[in-house]
Amino acid sequence: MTDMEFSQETSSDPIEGMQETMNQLLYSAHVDAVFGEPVEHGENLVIPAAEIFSVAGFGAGSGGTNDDTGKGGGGGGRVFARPVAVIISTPAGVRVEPIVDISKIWMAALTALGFFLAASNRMRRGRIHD
Amino acid sequence: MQWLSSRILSSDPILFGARRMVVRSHAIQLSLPFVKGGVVWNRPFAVQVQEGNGQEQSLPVVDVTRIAQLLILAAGLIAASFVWRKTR
Repeated sequence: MTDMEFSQETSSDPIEGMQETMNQLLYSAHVDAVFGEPVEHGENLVIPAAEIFSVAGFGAGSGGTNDDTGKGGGGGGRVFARPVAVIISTPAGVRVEPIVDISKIWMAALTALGFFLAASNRMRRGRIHD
Repeated sequence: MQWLSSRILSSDPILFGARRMVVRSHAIQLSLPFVKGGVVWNRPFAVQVQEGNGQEQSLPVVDVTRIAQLLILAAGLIAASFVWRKTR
């Protein structure tokens, strides 16, 4: 999984900063964010597809005395992207090839095993004390 | 304002030879009323293919890694609950 951070801070125009952050978030909800640019290779066409998860937040405020007023705002967020599949168009037809992330599967297996061992060990100890 | 939305998004048609393809994604958008900002989860959903002879098919995009992760975690939970029932 690749991730990207974006942040915008401004003291001149907080609305502009918030707008920029919001635009980053809204782009993640577009179909072009998920599917990459089609790549032509001879008689084949390849379209990469990825899962996008993005989170963003922003805020703004203003205040001060009559002589000295101020306003400010900012926002930030993070975008996570993970390749899921590749769409391949050949003269024979179109197929969807999944991208299998072995390291993520191993991580899930080790987490499940660790959880299972910890739970069974705790239960066994509880049984001995009884 | 709707705080949770789920939409199927379609791309512009991709023309390649006599073939026409439209890729679709599933976007879930969460925007909480008390927090300025939000969360977007967008994932590939399917590809609609129309051949030159008019034949049409829809191919789903399956996330094999996610399915494997969920199956492994579910197996871990089932095994733990099995041990819990045996040791009670």
